Amino acid sequence: MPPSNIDIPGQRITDPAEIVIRRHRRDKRQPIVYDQRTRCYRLPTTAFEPRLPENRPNATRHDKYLSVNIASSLRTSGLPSDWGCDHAHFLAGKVSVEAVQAANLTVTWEPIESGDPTNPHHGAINGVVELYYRDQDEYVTVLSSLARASTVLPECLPEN
Amino acid sequence: MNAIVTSAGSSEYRMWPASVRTFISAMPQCLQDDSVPGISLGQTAPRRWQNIAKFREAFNLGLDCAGAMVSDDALDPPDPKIWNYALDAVRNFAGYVPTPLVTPLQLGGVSVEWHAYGIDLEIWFRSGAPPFVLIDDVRDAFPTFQGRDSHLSHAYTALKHLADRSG
Repeated sequence: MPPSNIDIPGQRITDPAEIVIRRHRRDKRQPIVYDQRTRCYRLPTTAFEPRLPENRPNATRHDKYLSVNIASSLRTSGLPSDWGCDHAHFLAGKVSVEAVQAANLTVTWEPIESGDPTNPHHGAINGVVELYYRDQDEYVTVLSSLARASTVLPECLPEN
Repeated sequence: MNAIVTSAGSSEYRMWPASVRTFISAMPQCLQDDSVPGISLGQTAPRRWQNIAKFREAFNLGLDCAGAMVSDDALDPPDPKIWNYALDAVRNFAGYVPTPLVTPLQLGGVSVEWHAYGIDLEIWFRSGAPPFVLIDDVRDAFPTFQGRDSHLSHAYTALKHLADRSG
């Protein structure tokens, strides 16, 4: 089920109120970052690093974009925001499309229709890999801005 | 010093290059000297040792996380030169500051960060360029900084403030 007003894979999501969900691998013994300005738990900056093709000439899995899930698509299908997130090994955090756009990046709907597993709710934050090769300092700054705009889903916090 | 056992028994650890395993094994020696030139905090020795143990554990947790991600083909293997450099750069503060969050970066790098006592400090260590540092002090006692910090002078200033506040 695509997000509202979106029906073509690759189509840009422009609604600033739309939310995307990013997963982050962690060891459960590691602390969760508490943002002292927003007073919320958030994802660390490293959660927004793509798998870069550099140094991985033989790797088959490097990223063209940052993978996310589209919150409205999950909601329309009756799925929770943390769908597909194994809490034992992952954190999931939400970021608004507005925050992504503020970082001069774009969000598109990129459903995974073949392979195992499929994911019709899959989306992409585009421009991060290109930014790394254009300006590595700006790259870190942009990843930091995404991290600071993120909020860890309540379902992922220890008390849940 | 206690021996590090966290990663040594895992399957990921056995698959890693010998250079990475040597680095992990060398960590206790790296952290034996916990003096910080220029600051005297008057902390009791047991507290410093406790902080150092937690500091060492933070690096091991970072390596454990890296091992799992490498197994999933989600990460490049940690580069022991970079991790060693990172550890060496901040080890003198181990006894005096809260436990950092240590997370692996792509291309073998590592991020060491603190989010406590009003200070957000992230140091990104990667090969081929000076560390990138992000500093934000909620209390505005010193300026925000984002950029390359060749001699880590900005990072050390933030760490000294962090040590003062947590002392």
